[in-house]
Amino acid sequence: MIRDVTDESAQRRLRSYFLDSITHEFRTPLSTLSASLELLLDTEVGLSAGEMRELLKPTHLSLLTLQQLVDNVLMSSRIEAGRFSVHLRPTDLGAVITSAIQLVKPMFERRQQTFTIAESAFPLTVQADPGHLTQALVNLLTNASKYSPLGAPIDVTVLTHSVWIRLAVADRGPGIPPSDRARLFERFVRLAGDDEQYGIGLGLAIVKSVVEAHHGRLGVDERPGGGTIFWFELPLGEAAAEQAATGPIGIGSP
Amino acid sequence: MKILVVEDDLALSDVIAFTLRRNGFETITSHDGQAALRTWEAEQPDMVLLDLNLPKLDGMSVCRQIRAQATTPIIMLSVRNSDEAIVQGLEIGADDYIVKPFSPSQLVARIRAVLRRTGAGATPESVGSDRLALDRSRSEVNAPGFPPVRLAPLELRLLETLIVNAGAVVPADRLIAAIWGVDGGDRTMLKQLVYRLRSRLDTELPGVATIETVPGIGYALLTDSDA
Repeated sequence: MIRDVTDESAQRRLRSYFLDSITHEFRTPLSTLSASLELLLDTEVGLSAGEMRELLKPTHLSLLTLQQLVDNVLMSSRIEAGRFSVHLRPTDLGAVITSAIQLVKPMFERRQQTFTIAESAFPLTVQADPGHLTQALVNLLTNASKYSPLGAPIDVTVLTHSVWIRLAVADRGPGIPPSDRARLFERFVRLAGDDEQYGIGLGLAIVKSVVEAHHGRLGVDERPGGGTIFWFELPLGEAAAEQAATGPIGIGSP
Repeated sequence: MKILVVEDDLALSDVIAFTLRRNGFETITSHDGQAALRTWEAEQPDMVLLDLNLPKLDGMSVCRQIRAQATTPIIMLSVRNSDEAIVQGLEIGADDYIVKPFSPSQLVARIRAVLRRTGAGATPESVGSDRLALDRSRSEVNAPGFPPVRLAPLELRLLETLIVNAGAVVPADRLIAAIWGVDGGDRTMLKQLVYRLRSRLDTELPGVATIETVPGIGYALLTDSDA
């Protein structure tokens, strides 16, 4: 019997890389949680209300980081096992954007990054699974925040066409060479020369799976003036397409 | 006492800076390796707390570059807890290596131990009392009526840690960390070192100070005023 040991060896390396990366990703927010909670619980320290708030902010941020990490690992596991599915229903994209921004807001605030939202047209109702779509958008926003310098703005743009709706997130990061863009959405991909070393390489692969499960498409472009634009397009249902022709229905503001 | 905290995770960096400020240290922060080197050059801190997994330039490279130019004490912070990683960190010049997650009180204790051991920052040249004083610059211990006693480096670190805690029991693990750094020594080595220093004090400075063993806990330095 002949076994493909090259493939087995690659699998072992991948598994080892994954475990190594995930350990790092878990331990760092856990360090923040354990250290800040120890300080908060130490009655001898005698913290003022302002100091408690100063410690609660990083605690909250680390909890959100852990939550996103766990969500991504679970989702990735479901995708790999072929157990990932979406339940499409009429969904207000504005509400999805608001939910996603709520989850990344502490990170944006700490990194002193502002965000802008531009909607060029309405409606914003799409056939979508709001939970999974929120997770995909959180992944895009988190990446944009991490790869942009402190204080840089993140731009979210919603553009509606007669049969599709496009959502784009633009960062002010170092940019991605065109030759590397196709591989970006594969799991565990670390680009050559990527010395930022953020994350475990699941976020964009999840975005791809979610968008494709919505019968949409996604891509990445260079941002004029520097940075990268990640975008995805979702098809509008017949009712939504009709609405697009008749006028706006509004958006929830973050 | 100024400490440069180099940590790319801003939440953790904030908690470390908070901990250090509460313990009387001035802190400055950098969030990538290149910025860390620039800040280190510009600010000349008394110590660097250095995460290893950094953007732009990793922590090991930052440590090498600082070590090539200066003896600024460096404590590495990392999630990597393998022997290889710790040994590598210490071999390229870190003075201590702390694995995440860590407790804030332990972090502060380790910082103080490294500062004592390296004699960095505003630590005075001489510690002790009129009856028994340690002169770090000369590696000597002095007592009235006796000629100065020159100590070996490890003896000096042991006596220094005992002197600054004179009269109190210092746990064996804390002594080991202060003398050899993390994972650098063990209880047998400490026992042998205590035996050597105790013999020297007994013969070269009789009646001035003794090192008392507190079984299962550690050691205490008692001067004749404590007796």
